[in-house]
Amino acid sequence: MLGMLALSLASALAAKSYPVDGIVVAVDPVARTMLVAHRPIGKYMGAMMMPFRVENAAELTGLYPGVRIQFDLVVGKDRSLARNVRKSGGADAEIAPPKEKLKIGEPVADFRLSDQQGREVRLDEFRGKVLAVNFIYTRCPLPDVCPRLSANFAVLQRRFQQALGKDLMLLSVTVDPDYDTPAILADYAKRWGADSRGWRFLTGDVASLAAQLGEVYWTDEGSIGHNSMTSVIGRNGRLAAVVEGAGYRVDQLEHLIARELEEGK
Amino acid sequence: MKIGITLLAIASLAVAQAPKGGDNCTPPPSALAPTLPAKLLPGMGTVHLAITTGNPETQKFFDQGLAQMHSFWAREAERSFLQAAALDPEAPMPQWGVAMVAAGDWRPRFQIDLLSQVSGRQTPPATNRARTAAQRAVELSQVAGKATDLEKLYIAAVAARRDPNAKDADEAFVQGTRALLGKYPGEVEAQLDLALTIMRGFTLPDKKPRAPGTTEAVAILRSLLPKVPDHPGLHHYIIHGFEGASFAKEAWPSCEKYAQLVPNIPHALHMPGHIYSQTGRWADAAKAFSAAAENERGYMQQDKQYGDGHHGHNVHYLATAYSFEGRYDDAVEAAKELLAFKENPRQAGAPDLMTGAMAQGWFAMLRTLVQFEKWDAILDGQTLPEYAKPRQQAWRHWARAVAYANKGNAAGAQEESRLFEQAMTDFRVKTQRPEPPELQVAREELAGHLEVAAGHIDKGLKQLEGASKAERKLTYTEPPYYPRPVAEAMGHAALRNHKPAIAERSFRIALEQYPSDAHAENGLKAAMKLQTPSLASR
Repeated sequence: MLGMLALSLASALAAKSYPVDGIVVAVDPVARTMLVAHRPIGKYMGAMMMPFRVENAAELTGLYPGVRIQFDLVVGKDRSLARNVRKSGGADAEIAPPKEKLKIGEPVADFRLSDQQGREVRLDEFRGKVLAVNFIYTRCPLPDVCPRLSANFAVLQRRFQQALGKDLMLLSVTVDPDYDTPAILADYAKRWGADSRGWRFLTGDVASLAAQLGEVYWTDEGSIGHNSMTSVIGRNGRLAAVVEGAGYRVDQLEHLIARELEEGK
Repeated sequence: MKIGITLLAIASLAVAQAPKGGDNCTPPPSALAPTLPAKLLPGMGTVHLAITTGNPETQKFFDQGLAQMHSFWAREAERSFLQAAALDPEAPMPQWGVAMVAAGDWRPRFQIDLLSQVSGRQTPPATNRARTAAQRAVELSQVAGKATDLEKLYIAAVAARRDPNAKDADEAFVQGTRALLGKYPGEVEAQLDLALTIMRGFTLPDKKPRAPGTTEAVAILRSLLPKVPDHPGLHHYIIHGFEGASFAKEAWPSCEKYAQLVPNIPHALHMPGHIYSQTGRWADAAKAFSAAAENERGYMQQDKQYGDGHHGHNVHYLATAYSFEGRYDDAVEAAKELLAFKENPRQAGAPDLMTGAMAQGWFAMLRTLVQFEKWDAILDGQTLPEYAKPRQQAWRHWARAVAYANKGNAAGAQEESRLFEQAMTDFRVKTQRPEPPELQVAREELAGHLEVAAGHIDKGLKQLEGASKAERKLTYTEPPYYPRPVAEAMGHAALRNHKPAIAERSFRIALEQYPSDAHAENGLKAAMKLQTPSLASR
């Protein structure tokens, strides 16, 4: 008995544990691993995407591409394990999702909206392309929300320069369609240096698309309140990943998109 | 609003925004610049400050903005000033107007000081609009012939307040306004600006003017009365400048006058109700809140972005006034109107909420049922509906426990008391904040009711007395965030248990807290009657 205690104590001492914060890119229950785009892990490892084997396979249940998680990375002599994997929601987690919200893998219904040039935009016309969709409004006064989301898309526009417009479309949908007319959106697009071939700003009757993608918005005391959902839709028109909140790192969304671009090749 | 807090609120305008301290007595500034064009509206009050512009329409919208500013209607004032600016983009004074109002801090100094104390110095995002406008006003005023010397001094004062590097922005505005008055001592608008920004209110409970500023502000306002007797801002500022003073009643004429001069701004109709409530004129308070509610419903129907916070506060106070006046059915009806509002997703998702029309209606219903001792209605499970947030759960179980205790059902009271504690734990866990002090008092009050119900009358009354003392030390809020004065409950308990002297003392305390409280007045009469030997027994 004492010997066993000593042994487990020794192994505990040998193993080091690091807290990890990341976004799930893919889950492989058979291999008991998850691919995670993580933030820097203390001084141990910089931000990158890598697979982690989980200690408890049951903890993979309920994880999906885009979900933000935290776990303890236990690094032993021969191997490392993810322990105590848990979802970590932000302020947006307090907002109840709409009942129409799609699950990962479900098809997104077609929509008819207008872009910043007044052109009609339908989901079906993007079949075969990967879509990244976020929700913003041009008057948003909070630097940590819409401007950050748009800045992230501006970075993605540069990083996916080759694929943009051909293999990948960025769509920014307004939650303030009364005010955000195509002309207003065109001005906003210009501010962010958006290339209209690959980054389109959509307005019109956005309610159905928003509900499917879990976006909730409302008017309140002269303002618009909303959560921030960023979705990746696969080439087949099915929901592939959802990132909640505006606090993600742009490279995390980049990993999700890159993987989806790879998937359909 | 007496020197206290109208209603501490978590008024985050968007989910990711840090919570902002605020209150609902004054409609908040618009987080977004108003986009719909302004219209010239009747009933805003008549104010005029001549500005340099070649366009008479610009002057009209400017004056309307100024009148709205004096009623703290930041959103509409900004809309009017923007319209004036659109009509004459080269005129600096419409920009001055935006700089004055867009940040939502055109309010009495004591309110600003208090909110800073409670929530820390906060700079709402809308301040950026005020800063940009101040800068623009300065630039435009430097163009030859575009601004008089007086206008430049007005602009310099607001520019000092909007300087992001200012050490004490409010004080910088005061200094700028004093500089203006040094050169133009008879300038009415500047005198009003100064009075508002130096009024620091009065101490509690001795009602002494707070230095520096309060005495000077009162003197300025008094001196202006004969000069501009129809200035809506003057009467509004007198109401605020005298509230909490030993001479608060001197503001009564201004209460009447202000609502007459500005019949189309909800806050102007609402505000006198605060003074009437403080002085026990509950019927007049109810009239004021009722008129404000009717007026505000019109705006809410027209503008879907209007919000329901101010209406919630106003109708909550209406129900409170009815409750203290002894009008049960009216109080219930007012509470029901608010209970029918739907929470928006932010409100619904928040672990704790006191603002929003629904939350305020819920508390108004709780107050009414408890104050009228409608134990059966409390226990029917519907009149006071379930509200799935720990704060309201705690209050609900508290009310049910008090109801059971007063009906002599000790087991029921104990069970509800247990559920109350469970909700309190839930509050700490879900909000990561300590227990609200008013609910701690509620716990103390409940213990008293339980003792009385168990037949330990003296012990129970002593506990109620302790709870009453604690309740009177709570932060003063309007309407009160304690359902009914504990002294009132103690008076009823003492009466029921044939202790008229204690009952009399208790009801007198309750009446000191809330003059003309009908429940305490009736109780006092009953207690006095019991103590007066009848002629026959002499």
